[in-house]
Amino acid sequence: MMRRIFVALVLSVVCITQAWAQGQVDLDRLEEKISRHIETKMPGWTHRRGEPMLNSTNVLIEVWSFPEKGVKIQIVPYKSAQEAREVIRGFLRYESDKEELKGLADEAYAWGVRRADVVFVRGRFIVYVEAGANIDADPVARMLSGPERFEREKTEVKRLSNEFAKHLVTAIDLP
Amino acid sequence: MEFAQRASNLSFFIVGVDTLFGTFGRVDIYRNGAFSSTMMINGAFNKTVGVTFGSTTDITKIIIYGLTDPAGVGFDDFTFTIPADIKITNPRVSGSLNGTTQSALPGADITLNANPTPAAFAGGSYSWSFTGPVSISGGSMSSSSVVIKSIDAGTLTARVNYTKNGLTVSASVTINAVLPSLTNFTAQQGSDLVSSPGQCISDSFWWYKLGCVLTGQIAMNFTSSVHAPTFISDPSQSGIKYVQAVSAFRKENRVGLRCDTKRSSESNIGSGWQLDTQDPYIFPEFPVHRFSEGNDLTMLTVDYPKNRLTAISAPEFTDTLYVDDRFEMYVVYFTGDPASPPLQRPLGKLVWNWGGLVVLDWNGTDAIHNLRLTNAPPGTRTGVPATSMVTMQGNVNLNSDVPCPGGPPLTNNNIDSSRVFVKYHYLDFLGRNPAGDPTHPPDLAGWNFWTSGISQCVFDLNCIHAKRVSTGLAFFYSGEFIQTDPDMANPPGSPGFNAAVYNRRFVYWCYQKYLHRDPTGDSGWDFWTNILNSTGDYGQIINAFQLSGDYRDRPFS
Repeated sequence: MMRRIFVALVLSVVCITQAWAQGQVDLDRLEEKISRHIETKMPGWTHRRGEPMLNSTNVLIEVWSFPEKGVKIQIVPYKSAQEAREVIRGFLRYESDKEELKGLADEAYAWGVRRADVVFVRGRFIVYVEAGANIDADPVARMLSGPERFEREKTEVKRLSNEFAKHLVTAIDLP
Repeated sequence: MEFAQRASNLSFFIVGVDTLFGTFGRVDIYRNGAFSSTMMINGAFNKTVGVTFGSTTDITKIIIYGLTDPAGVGFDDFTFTIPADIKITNPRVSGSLNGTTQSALPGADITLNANPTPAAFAGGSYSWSFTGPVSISGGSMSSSSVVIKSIDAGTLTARVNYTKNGLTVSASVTINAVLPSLTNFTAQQGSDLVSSPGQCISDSFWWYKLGCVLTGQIAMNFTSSVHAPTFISDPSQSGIKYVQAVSAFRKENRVGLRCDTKRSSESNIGSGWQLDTQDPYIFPEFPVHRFSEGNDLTMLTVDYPKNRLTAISAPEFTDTLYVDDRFEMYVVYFTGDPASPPLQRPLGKLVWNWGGLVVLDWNGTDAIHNLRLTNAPPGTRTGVPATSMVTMQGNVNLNSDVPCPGGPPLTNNNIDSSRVFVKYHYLDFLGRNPAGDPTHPPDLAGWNFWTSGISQCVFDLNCIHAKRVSTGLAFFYSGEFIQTDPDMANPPGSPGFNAAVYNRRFVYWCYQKYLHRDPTGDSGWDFWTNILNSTGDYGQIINAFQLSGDYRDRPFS
């Protein structure tokens, strides 16, 4: 009996390790596709791979930068497209500021009061995109009123997150 | 016989004289164009009679008449000397400088002209020579006019030799190159203050500054006077200017702890001297002054030191500011272009300082930038004569932020700004912009409250760290947030608290709010939940998320 338990434990560890290794390979390959594609489409942007939160092994984080702008991308693979869709809906369940982005990926939403974030499902992946922009680097923007500046920032980060989201969908679909 | 130039030592011989003794002729002598005397010519038992006028000078004419020698006489071997002279002159003074001692300002041109006299003596060759700290800046050592300058304070002599037809005359002048003297140097220092938007400067920002322009308060008003003796150098080439050195030390919590200083440590003032603004320190209404205005000059200027506390965007918001700027204002003598003078020497300096501690403090209804202490008492400052200036390293206006001496590395991550940190807690947890957005009114008082909570730590980094954690916890426990999720409705300490439900959900929201992703399927969710279940330390979990690269990589603006 003890021997059976031991064998089962060993097999479990092997399976988990293999799955983790497979996951890493998938994410590494995904990162390569994304980097190559966005570098082509967004010249001038630089990027680096981000370090996930401790013990968060199954997430790909990419940080893209341009002077006075930045985008953080997080990609989490799930077992199935169905599971991914269920998770994204749970994620936005309590979010009051959200709008569906029809035509983008399998299911996509912009969320947050500034619409700086986009989350979408493509296949079995959930992709989170958050954009930031220092609009005050533009002297003209510094002359605007508070509400005008908010609108300008919102317009810019919404544009950025949407643009990256579209490139990401294309990159994920690449063979 | 007339002499075109005044002659002296005149003598000649009369030859073929048959009169052995007794008078046989007369000579009338004219000096300086006027009759002077008559000399008898007498025989001397010789065919040749010498006539001499001894050392009589300024002979302009002689008339020989009344010759009675029966066979007539001849004249031979006229000899005489011409008392020629050379005079050194300068266009700034009348008369000859020969043998005198004059003054000049160092580094400025001194024009020396050599004038042979009488005029008919002109046409010879000149040779100038000099001793002392001197350089030639114009003319020629072998011409009638030469332009020299002293290369420093000191005594120099100029000598000219003039030669014509073998006759050489010379002249010299002594010149003392002296710096002007400082006769007065004072400054009036106003009070420092924190000014609210529009109070002292017509803009929308908070400032810490010295003096208040809009209300007519002075900041630093300088007055200095110098005196120069009568001098023969070109007055338009010499002047006085201000040069200000500053050893700045400005430490602030804005985007993390950052400093504007060149000092190696806060207390090492000598290691941080820099040029303030520009050399010369001038404004359109306070230019340099030159000695063409007169021998006594009075010069004014001002300084309005200030440090902005707020600006347009959140990362430009200063929580705490400490200023310890030390200044030395110099009155400097210069020649030529004041920005790149061939020669300059300090005449006086006035030491002053400005600074204090400004903290965002809560006053009961709102938080304001508050001047907690000042090290710049208002009053009169007095300068002293000086002969040297501090060594300056670069221009303070070109400084960029550096790590504070002995402090942490510089950060450019906007989340290290307390203002941005609080703003994102509003955006992430409450779903509204504290500056206002189309669906929510501004909540500046709330934003100030939470920011000032962190600013109370002043420069204690451990305190700031702890305050950021407690601020995060406060947002977790806020009624506005917990009402969004029923599982969060009963935080620790409340009657309905259920650790098994609450803790897992707490970690979920850490992922959601701090990392903007869902932890479903993430092994980290279990990991952090287990830690929380075992420790019950919610601050520890928040701390881990706030410090994670995962959080700090977000594009905060």
